[in-house]
Amino acid sequence: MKRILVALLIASLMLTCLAIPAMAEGEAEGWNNVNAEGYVFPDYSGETLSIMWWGSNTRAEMTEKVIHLWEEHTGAKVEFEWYDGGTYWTQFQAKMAAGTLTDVFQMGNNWLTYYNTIEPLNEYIDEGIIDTTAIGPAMIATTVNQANGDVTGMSNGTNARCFAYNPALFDQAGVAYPTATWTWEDFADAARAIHEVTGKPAITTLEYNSLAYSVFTQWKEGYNFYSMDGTGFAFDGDTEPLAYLFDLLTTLQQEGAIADYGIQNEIGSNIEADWIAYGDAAMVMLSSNQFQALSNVAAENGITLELATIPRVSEDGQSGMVVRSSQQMSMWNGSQKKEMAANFINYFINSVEANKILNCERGVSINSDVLAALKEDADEVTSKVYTIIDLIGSFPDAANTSPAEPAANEEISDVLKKTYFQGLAEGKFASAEEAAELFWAEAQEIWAKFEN
Amino acid sequence: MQATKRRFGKSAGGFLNSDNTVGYLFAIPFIISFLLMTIIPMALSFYYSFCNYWIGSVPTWFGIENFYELMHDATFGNSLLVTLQYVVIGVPLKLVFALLIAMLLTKPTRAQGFYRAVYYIPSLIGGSVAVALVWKQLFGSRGPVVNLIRTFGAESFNFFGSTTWAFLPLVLCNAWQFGSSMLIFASGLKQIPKDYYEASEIDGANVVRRFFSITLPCLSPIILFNLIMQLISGFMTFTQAQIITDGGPNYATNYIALNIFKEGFAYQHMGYACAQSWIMLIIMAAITGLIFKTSSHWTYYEN
Amino acid sequence: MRSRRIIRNTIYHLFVIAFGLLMIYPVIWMILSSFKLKSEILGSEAPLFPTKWIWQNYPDGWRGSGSLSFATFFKNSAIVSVLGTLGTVISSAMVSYAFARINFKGRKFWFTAMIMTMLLPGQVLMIPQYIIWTRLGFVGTFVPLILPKFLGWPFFIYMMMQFIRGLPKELDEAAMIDGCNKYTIFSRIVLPLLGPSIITTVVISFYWIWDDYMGPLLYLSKPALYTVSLAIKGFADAQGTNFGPMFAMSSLSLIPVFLLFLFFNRYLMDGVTAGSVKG
Repeated sequence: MKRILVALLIASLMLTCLAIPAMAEGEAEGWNNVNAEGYVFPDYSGETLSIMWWGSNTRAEMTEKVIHLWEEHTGAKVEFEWYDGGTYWTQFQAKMAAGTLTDVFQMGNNWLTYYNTIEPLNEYIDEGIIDTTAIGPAMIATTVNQANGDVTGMSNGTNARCFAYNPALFDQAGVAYPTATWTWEDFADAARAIHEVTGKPAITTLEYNSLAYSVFTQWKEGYNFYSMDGTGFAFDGDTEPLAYLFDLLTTLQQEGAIADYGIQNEIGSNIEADWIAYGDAAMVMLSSNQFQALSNVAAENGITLELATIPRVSEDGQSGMVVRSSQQMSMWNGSQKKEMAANFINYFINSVEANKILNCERGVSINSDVLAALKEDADEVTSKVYTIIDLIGSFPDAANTSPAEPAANEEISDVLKKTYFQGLAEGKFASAEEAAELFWAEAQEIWAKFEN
Repeated sequence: MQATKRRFGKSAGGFLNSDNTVGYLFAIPFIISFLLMTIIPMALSFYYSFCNYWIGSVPTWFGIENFYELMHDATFGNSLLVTLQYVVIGVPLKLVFALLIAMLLTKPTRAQGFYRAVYYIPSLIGGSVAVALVWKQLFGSRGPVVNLIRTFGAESFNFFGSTTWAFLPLVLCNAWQFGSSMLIFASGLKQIPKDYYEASEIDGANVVRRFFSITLPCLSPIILFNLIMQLISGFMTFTQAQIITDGGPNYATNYIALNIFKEGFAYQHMGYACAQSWIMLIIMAAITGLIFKTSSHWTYYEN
Repeated sequence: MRSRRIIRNTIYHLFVIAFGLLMIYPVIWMILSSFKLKSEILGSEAPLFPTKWIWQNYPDGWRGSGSLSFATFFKNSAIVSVLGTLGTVISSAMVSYAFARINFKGRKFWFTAMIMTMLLPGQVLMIPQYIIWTRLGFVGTFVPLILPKFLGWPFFIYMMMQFIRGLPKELDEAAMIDGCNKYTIFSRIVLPLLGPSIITTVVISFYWIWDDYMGPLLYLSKPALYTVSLAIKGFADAQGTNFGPMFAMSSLSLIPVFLLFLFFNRYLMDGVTAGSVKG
């Protein structure tokens, strides 16, 4: 009797075990697991994936839509959180310290700082979970650790540092528009001429470290600010390029063509408050994915802006420009759901339906099929961004990818800003050379701190 | 006193009514929170201050290296100095302002509630982006304040480019958010027994005399409280400096809390940031200790 | 005599109003900006009043992001603020009574400990505290924001202490003779007389919790739990900030705090209650 009962119990248990997957399979048929592009999604019903990113609520809205699509395709549930760019890193560091990062997270060019949390994606690319057939090697290289070949994430989109300018003010001063090979001298002449005519500064904000990166890269073939593998500087301790830059900026500022430090500080990093959007300045250096926001404000004031490349040291010299990853989706190495995470990243980067929603808001898509589909119905401002990215990509020296930002970068940037200020506003240094030397000494000291 | 305590301690059941039982029963919430949420983080930060540590890594023992480095760190020294300047100028300004407004608004009129609400509103938008933008417009290079100053001849004057004057908009912003201190003063004023004033009025004391002989002494515990709290929050000032000046120009408003945040989170030197925090704690403990010590001479408690 | 008083009153009111206007200028600026285009908010020579009123900022802002509107965020803020304020008042009143009136062993030690906790910058305690809450399994809930408030808030403990110390000790002694013990002295004598400072605590702590940004940022981790202050930050980004909607929601978020103040301020005014100590 007892034996029969036990047998019955075991039999019913076995039946249940068999029935559960069968039921789940039955349900999965209901999932929309093949999308319009013909991509077949695996069945992740009942599983959850966590994701976090930074950005505005506009970005959140688009990202949430894409997440819901992926949920529909795979049957998985996504727990997501998002924060504004400034405080994202506080949240990130807290989670990192507690060992509770999300399976997938947005990461910037500062990935070297958080390297020990990141799962390299090479394996998933090799296995084809992340499809790279429509992504050029140069685009993949934007997120590769040059020291060991680890793919640290998939770029959500590329951008490039460039200049925005107001053609109306160039016309008013009778100066030619920037060309693809314009030089710092052309830049200075234009700034002076515009200042003379308008009586206002031609430039109100400067991104010191971006400027320095550009000038170092342009100075000599093989030069760069940081080395590609993030293990040091790449300009042989040559302070000449920096002195050149300091001298250029200081002179222009004393003449009034660049706004004084108070105005620069007042605007700070708020690109939409730059005087260029109000017709009170003619040029600004920015990242190409900021152009949309800047153009929107300018349009409210009846101003149309254009994009130009960064001026060069000499017309036939290096462009110093580079198409880089604006930000990337990375995988946490502590994740328990790496395959599912890889599948999500793949969908996020490669799916046309997803990227039609995301619409290159994070940067220009690295997938050529996606980009071609998006270019078809791009508006005028976005087209300008595509054009400049294409132009920069066509420069022979632009194949160099942007070096990784080492952990010391934040501190070194602040020292650069300080040196510039002390030289400029306070006249602390006898010459631009002296300022450059001092910066170099301090930068090395900071670097040494990170070595141990 | 002792006699009363003993007598009632006995009659109402010794243990439950003993000072120790009652004291710990009532203080238990704080003690729990201290043991659970504060002591471990404090001890950790103390340990980290002797370590080479950044978030996400394993701390390695560093000895007094961090403190040794602090002594040579010009940025840290500068941070201490500018913070001190901010506190010395900002705190008295805010307290005097709060007390004056509190007194001004105790006048019993029908509009009193409305007035108080209006004066309290500024504190409600404290560290918001709106404040940062308004302040930049008011004190910016094209703003009304600068225009006024320029009419007096300082033609290229500019707050946010001046290492000498950049602190002023921040101090004013802090003083402008006097709402909480004002409320605390106001409720302190309300607690002063009316008959004190009535009695002194009969004695023929004028307004000024009454202020010094009644208001100030009766309010002294509250003044002590507001002073200590404003000192602490002055030393810890962070948000406004971050959103309005971001520590600039040239570190002129790089207050200590801002510097600690930068070192710990942006520059990845958490151990060093902890060392700075403990130096700051020692300085503040010395100052508040000194105030507590002298306060027995100038605060007046009932009884 | 009478006309002199009228003149004096008029001058008083005029002064208070004029100065008050100066004080709330930034608030007015923010509210008016919630009806502006972005370019009018940011231009350094922008006019105070909008040249074109953009009402759309309010519905745009209210929509929030994706599936969550500000209705959710206001509800979350209300839960956190109401419970947090309740906890602050109860726990801080209790602890302050112990510190101010009861002569227990270790009182000085605990008081010093309390002051010391306020002297260390929150920035260095943040991460260890986060780890503790993670281990307790409360990240992603309201608990880390509410529970600590039930365990006393040093600022308000110390504030109430100072008010209790301002109450005459004879009151306690008289109550004891009437048969009160130390518990009933707290509930029947100290608490009622603490009225104004309890109201002050309610008003200030409610606002501080409502406005807090760091706590929600660290501990909520789910958009469905975000508070108003955290959601408002979501309008800001280096690639373009939605200033109009941001100020629209900032203006709305002032309303609950303002109403609470108006409601409770009645109890802080002279002549309305007879709360002052008599004898």
